[in-house]
Amino acid sequence: MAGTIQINEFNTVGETKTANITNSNMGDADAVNLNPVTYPVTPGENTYEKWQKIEVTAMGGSSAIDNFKIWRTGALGGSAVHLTNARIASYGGAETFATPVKTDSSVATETMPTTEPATANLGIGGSLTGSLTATGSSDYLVHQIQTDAGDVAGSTSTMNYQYDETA
Amino acid sequence: MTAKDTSVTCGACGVKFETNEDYLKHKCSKTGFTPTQVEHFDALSNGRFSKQSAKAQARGEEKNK
Repeated sequence: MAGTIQINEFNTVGETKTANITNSNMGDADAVNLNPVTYPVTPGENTYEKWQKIEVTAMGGSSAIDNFKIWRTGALGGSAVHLTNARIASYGGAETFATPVKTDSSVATETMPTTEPATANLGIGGSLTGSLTATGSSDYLVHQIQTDAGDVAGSTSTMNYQYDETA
Repeated sequence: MTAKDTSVTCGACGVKFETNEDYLKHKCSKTGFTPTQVEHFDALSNGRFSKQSAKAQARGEEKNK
């Protein structure tokens, strides 16, 4: 039996949690499962940051869950860049929630990987070598897309969230 | 300073719970299972959760041979 894992998102000043989100659509609103057509980003501006966590809701017989790796597959529109706090070196530890902003993120500053990272890039308890031995969550994953004034179209890509389970 | 909202909204059925514990215990009206059961995730993914999990387990067992 496998553990059960979900992605949660936190929004607004109150850090309001929506569990098991259905998508990670990004746009001009601090909202979960948003419709990007309703909230398009003006070229040259940014999406609101996404603040998300991976939550283990049941261990399912596993003794440990760790090695969280996050990356995106698929190209962005125009010359937009996708930035995150996830990284395999110089990890900043567990971020403290701050209301999502659409100004340049001070937390998401590293380019989102587009292939599977060699090692964990999202921590548990502030450490990339952290491990969950009971239900709980990862550190915050923070990410934001920053567009260029010449970008005229959005894009669709896939976020990958990977982890290891030890029996 | 705004107090932290400790409530949790189920992304599947949309019901808001006071605490995460309450959320984890609820039987989701959309799936018929709690968010701690594999069946909950299978119901939301047309069974892909279990299939993906089985494939991952097979990869792990192969790697450990």
